[in-house]
Amino acid sequence: MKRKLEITTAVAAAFALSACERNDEWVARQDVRVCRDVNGARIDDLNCDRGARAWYYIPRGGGVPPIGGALSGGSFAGRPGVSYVAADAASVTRGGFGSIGRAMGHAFGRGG
Amino acid sequence: MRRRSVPPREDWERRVESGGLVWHTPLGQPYWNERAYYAFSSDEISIIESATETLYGLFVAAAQHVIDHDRLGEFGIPACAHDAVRQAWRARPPSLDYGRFDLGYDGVGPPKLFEFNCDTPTSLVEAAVVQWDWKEDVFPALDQFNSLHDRLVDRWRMIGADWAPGLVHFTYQEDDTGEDAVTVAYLRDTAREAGLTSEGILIGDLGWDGEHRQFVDLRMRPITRLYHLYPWEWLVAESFAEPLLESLRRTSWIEPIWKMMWSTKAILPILWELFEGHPNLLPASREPPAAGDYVRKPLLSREGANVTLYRDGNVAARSSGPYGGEGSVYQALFPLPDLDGAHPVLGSWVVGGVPAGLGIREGGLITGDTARFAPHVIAD
Repeated sequence: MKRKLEITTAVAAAFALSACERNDEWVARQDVRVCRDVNGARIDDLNCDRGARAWYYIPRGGGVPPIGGALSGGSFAGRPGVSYVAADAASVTRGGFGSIGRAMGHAFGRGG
Repeated sequence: MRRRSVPPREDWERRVESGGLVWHTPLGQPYWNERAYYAFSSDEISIIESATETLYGLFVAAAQHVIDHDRLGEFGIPACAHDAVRQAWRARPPSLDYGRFDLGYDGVGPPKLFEFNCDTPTSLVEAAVVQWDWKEDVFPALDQFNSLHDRLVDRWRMIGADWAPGLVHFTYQEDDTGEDAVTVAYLRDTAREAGLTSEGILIGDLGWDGEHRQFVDLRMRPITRLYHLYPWEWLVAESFAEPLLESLRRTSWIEPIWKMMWSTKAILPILWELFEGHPNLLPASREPPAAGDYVRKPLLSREGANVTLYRDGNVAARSSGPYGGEGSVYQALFPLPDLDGAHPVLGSWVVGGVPAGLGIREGGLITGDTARFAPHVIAD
């Protein structure tokens, strides 16, 4: 009997396309903006909302530190035509997993 | 155990892709091979199944020994994670308790353990789904050692019986071929069939909410159950290691952290130490043996990387890769059978600690990520 594998089929179909054709929203990351103080640390977005400090633009895939954390890998000017969204709640940090996998540069397929 | 030639199905690419196997010819090199198949007798399957059940029992005993005798330091597991491993082993949080024993088998002597892939085991989709579909197309009257799908669904149903609303997050690392993404998608399908709801999230997108002390997804929902196709030794070495250890109180990591004891090859010398001479084990040690042919394997290598095969004191084969700095084990060489130039390694699966099916990869002297997967049948 043929298995009914809805998620498998959908993901496999996405990978059957070439990379530039993919549109898989649940694996997509977004470009974000955060508020930066004069020392390069992240501060609450309220400071930028009222114009007291400058936005800092972090591209998709970049790390987003918590409030007080040092910012890097972004820029003071967003890329033209790119829509940047507010980062997560101030207390949320992302990018703390995955560095070794990226460095190893391989998947676990065909063995694991 | 016989290897037989068979014409591939006319539209085999489309057929295996429909089962999820989109990496059948990575970089132009064939991985899925249905020009050949393996035929086992019922007795041979019983031998493999029995050995798998036995080996699982040996691993349980070895892990208990490691905990009882405080030997985690021999595994390369960071000291900060030792308490978590001990606590998880005692508490046994929810798990699929699945994995793939890689076995050497020549159809004559008993199957011999090479290693147990139980943290991030793959070749799952092809073993559970794609080779079954092939059998149904080509040999519908024959059987196959394969209850993987049903056992995975049953296992989710069992461990998820008390979960409400039943949301499980699934995380993995993005890759170009789709192997990890599709493997995780397949596991999500088995969870869905068990009545659970799933959400996929890339490993790099996991968020740590420092205020509420919990991991969150991209929609800021707390993550309380997390399947991860990302190895524990990497998780505990990355910058979220401390939040991870803290999260163990509130988040069920599937598989649990105690799997670190089984997934490194440091367990192999301990198995031999405890069960020396067992018919399903090969002699293994942390030092090179004084005599005989042997294989050196890094403690944490995957896909056959950084393995060196020694014959008569000389290097007979060697694979490259990024591993080895963490130390190695030495395992007696098991000469893989040569069937039409193919060297099969059996991947014997367990789910819930119970034998669940078989997948076969054919490679050279060292079975790496260029091995081919060949289907099998039971044909007396």
